[in-house]
Amino acid sequence: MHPSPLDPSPEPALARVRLVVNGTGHDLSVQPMRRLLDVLRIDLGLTGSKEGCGEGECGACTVLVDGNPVNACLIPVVQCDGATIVTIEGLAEHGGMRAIQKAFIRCGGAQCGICTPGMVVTASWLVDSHVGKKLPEVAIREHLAGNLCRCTGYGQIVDAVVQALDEETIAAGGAR
Amino acid sequence: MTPTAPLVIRPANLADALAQLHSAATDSPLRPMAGCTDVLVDLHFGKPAAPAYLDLWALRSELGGLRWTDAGLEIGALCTYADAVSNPRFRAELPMLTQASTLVGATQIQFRGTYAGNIENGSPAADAAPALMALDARLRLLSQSGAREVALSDYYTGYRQTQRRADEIIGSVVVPGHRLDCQGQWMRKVGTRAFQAITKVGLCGVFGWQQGRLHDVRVVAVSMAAVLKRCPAVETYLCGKRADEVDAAALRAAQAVDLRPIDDVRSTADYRAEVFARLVEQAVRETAA
Repeated sequence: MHPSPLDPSPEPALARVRLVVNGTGHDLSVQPMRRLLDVLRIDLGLTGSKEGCGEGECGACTVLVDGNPVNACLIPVVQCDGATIVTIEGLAEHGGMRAIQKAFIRCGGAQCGICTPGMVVTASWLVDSHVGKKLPEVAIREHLAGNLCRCTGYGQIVDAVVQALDEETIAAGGAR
Repeated sequence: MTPTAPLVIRPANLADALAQLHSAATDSPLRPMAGCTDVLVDLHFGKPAAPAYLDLWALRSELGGLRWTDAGLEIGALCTYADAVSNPRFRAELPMLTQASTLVGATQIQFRGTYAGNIENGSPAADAAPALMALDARLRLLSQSGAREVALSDYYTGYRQTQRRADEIIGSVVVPGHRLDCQGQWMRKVGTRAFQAITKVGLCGVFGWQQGRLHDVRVVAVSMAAVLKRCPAVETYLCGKRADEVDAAALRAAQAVDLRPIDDVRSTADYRAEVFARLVEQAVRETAA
């Protein structure tokens, strides 16, 4: 991770920001333009979200803010005041992996692992927002276009999304 | 060296935002910020921060959303691409703007990027702004002294320079009624790959046909000049022509009146000129069919 010139600054013009991250509330006094990614990794110790490019291209820093996948490297923390955030660390429910996480393992959707946290977060949103709906492969690839992987060639990742969506749809009582 | 942390002003509502802009306008103007997909890239890669920002993101209930009115479609300044393309009527009536809104960036960017932000950022390689320009969009600029409207095609005064006064923000973007569901909306972005690319050469346009002849033409050039640019000479040349009457040399001569392409890190002027002419030819061919 290359250091951000925004972090840290010697002259604090601090803002009070409340975040709920993976179910835990945090009242922070922070420089308002610090990147959400730096606050998560440095202040809260949640180093699962990675920094790849720092400019919103690679998606390694993807987290859910109020349910939507966004690049944590492109959000000033002040804009998250009152937001609910889920990072890769908070994705598993009740201590157990979700269908999308198991499908990534089963399909070989991870190799070096740098893109994986962001990729899994985006994929989890994709599955959750399409339970019971058709999701053609071209749409899966388009929705994952903001998560770059240099190892897998994407085939296994697409397979994992297809399998997890099938499982979640069946679990929700819908037809495949 | 670590720069000084900029001040961020968080207005309580739109009226407060306009009051803050008004009082700061003369000595130290505030820089409005919305989804920050451009602002944070600039800061991270070392561009100097503005002394103070006005954070509009929390005002989405006042400045967001889509409203169909007698005048057309009013797109709130803070409407995100995801907000817009999730609306079936928007997709049906504005296929070119829908396409531009998905090509602007991946899913993550679509949840943060706003139409006003794309316009105000002022990049000549923008995606949504040229589509809006081709659709005759107008901007509603708000300040404490009231609202005024400016045609988007008149908005840019130079590279990343706009007509916005320091006490104003873009309140909304209006696509006029005659452009909703209009025929011949066409765009193509030429970049280094299909997604996540910055435009080398692009065209957004309207190519309306009547009895086999072009009669309603808008051509906007993307990444061809210091600003996004309407091409009146090309439009005039094409108007009234049948598809088989469009002459390659005459088209390029008209284009040379409108555009003197830039030579930069993404492409050469010669490449841009030739590809742009071919985009016009492709648009004519495809919309005529």
